[in-house]
Amino acid sequence: MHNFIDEFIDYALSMDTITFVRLFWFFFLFEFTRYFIVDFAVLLIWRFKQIIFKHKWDQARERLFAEQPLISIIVPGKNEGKHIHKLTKSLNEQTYQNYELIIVDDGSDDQTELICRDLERNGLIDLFIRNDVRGGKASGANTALRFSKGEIVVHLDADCSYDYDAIEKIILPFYYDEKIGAVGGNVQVRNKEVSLCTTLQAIEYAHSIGVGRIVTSELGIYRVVSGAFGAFKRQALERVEGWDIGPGLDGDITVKFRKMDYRIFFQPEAMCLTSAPDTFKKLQNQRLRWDKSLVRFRLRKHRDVFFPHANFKIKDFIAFLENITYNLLLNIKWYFYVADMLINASAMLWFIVPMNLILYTLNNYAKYFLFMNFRKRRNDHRGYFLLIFRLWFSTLVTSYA
Amino acid sequence: MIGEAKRTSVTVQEQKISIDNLLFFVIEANSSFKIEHLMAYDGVIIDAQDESFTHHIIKSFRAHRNPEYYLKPIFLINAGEIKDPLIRDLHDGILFSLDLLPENTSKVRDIFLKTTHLDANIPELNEARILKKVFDYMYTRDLKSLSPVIDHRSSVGYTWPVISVNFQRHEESQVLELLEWADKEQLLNSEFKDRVYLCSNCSNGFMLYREVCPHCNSANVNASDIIHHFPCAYVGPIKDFQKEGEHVLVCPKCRKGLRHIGVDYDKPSIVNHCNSCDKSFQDVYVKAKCLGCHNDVEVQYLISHNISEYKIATKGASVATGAGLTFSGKNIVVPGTVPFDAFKMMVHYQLERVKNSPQIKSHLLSLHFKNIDSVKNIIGIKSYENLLKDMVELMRNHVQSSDFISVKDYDLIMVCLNDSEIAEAEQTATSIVEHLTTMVEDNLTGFSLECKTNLQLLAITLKTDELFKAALNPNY
Repeated sequence: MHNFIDEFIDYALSMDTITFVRLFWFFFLFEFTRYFIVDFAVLLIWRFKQIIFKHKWDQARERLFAEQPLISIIVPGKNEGKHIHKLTKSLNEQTYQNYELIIVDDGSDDQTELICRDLERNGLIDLFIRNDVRGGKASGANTALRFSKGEIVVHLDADCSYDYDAIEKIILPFYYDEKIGAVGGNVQVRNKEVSLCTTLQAIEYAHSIGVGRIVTSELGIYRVVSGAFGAFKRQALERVEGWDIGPGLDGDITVKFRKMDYRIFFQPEAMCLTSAPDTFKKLQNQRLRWDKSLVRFRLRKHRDVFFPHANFKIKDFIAFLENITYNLLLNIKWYFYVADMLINASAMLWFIVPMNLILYTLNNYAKYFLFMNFRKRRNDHRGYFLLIFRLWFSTLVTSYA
Repeated sequence: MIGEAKRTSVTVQEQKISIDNLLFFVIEANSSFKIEHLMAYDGVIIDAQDESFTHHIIKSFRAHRNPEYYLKPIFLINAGEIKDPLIRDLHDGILFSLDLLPENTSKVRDIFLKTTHLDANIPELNEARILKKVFDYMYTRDLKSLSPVIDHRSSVGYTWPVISVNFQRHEESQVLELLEWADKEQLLNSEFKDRVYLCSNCSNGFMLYREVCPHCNSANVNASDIIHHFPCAYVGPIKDFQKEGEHVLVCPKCRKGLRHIGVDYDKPSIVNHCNSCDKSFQDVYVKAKCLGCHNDVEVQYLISHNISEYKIATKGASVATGAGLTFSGKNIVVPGTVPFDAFKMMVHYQLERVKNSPQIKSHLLSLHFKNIDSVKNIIGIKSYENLLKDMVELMRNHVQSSDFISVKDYDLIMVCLNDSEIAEAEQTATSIVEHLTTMVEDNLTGFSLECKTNLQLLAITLKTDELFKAALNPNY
């Protein structure tokens, strides 16, 4: 073991830069450049803009509370009755109170109807619509949209919970920039301590949503307004006549908004906590579902964004390309990289594999600690990272010794 | 004028008929007279051609306070089909001809005979007086039960003629309450027949039921099918899909025609729309508008009452012949109090506690209301029970939350004042009496409540029975 580490270090130090980049081109070209350098640069710009436009945000808030527009909070779902009372209590605590709450029961076969009717009678729900037959998430959302009256429509998931100012924060951007048509909330993991699977997802969400969406929003290529917590301009929603059938309806409607030239904004201040899958099997199913939607609506339904015509917009093009590159093509390219290494550098695999691990790990730690300064609730996940780091470090030291 | 009877034993003089030493008075339809002039007659015969007149006469007799009138045998002649339940249940026979009167004299004599068995004492309390009348009537007519009869003129939709005759039509709910009370006191035994829902404001049973908007109570509500178009997930009321002058339904989102329910579209639910406040909702409220007071209440707030047939119980049967009718408060349920048996047990435990820890001082306070019968006579039992509840609530404000109260009877309330020194207990007792007296005087103008208090220390030398012996004695 000692010999291996010594040899590994000696080999790494003796390698010239070109060879090193050649061996780890995948990491340097995609991971490090896109997700470290670009992200960091954009985050710096974002922070700078936040400071210089603070007065504009303050004015937006003043206007919001002066006008107090009615907003419609719509919650479609099936068998969500057990969460609804908690949700109504959470909404009652909100700093923004001029809302109507519309719950659509999409063919539940539990006590949801009974619970919601009772809450409606007690004034905790403004409108409860029960559909005896399940019609899907889109039809549930469209039902609520049809009977809503608010200028802004906020789509929530019943099993999520929200910060006391989440509603105010998510509608604030509409008063900041009139071009904003949809705002995505900052969805984070609530059950992060349940299992290793949820802990890892908590870290992933913290980075990919808490930081990643700030970047994509700033670059104008923010792709998916989450159905768990998203706000939409009613006028725009009516133009596209609501949601289309899924899967991938959240991404689909976001694309439609982009095509109408609305800006899509990510609001990191609007915090929402959701329950992530607690086993790797469930996680796999969830991610398969998401990937299917990628193929369906990006590559088929909205392929027109790739071709120059009346609807062509360069940002849409980039957003799509970025999404497809990093979520579809890179998965293929990874195999290409592996094949490249097997064919052209098979003798150095003993060095390539651990070095890749080290590069990715160091990159992730660097990102974590550096980007922490841009993330809301920056210290939430520090404990887990330090724990993993400690375990990894002690294992390394022990084995070296 | 009624046709003259031909039988030799019958003597007819104008409106008087004498038969076998019994003297009857014939009341012609729509004639005017005073029933007080008919005391000397053994019975009356009413020409029942006019139903409302007959109703009026029968009610005049049966609702009278004097047993000479309310027990008087009444026969009908010229009666057609009798629809009025009060007439139907409160006469003693129908004569197809005066010639048949002699055949009914035995019935009259039987009534007279039974009347002699009756207790002549008339209770002062209104409810007791009415019940005594009912039991007297039932005894003299051999009635074993009071059956409810559907009657659209009764404010609750049902009537029990023998007792209802003593009340106005709009007071029928009082009949219900009195019967329920008699059932509770085991004077009558009830047997369920039906259930009615009465206005929470005026106890009327006649309502207009309507589906109304839950937001503004307007009945101007339209229901509409909701359509879900599968291919594009558009959902909206059917009017969104209807085009003027066309029968086909067209989706407003994707412009496709709807063809086959269950295949390309569905109707998952119905949504109501209020034309008054412009709000949508699925769950309409069913409200009942009372025809009596025009109060609009949700049906779940209507007060339900069982409609029962009441069979006379042994205790009730003996009321007519002199068992007396006492109204005890033992069954009264007053919020914030404990039943007397439990109270006695709790005081016993408190006494044991005092014996173990002599430094603890507790007192038993008895409040004897000496002239409470007068209050009951003035306002009636039901109202008195409500007053009693208010009195207990007031007392609760003057004792500690750990003290317990029991309503032993209508005229006796007991309080165990736990952990209180003598001065403190005396002050509490004085304060309670002052406030109760003021409250009763405020409610009953000109009436002064006489309240005697008895405050005993739970002393270690005392036994529970001795303690209560003194507490229950108003003259102690």
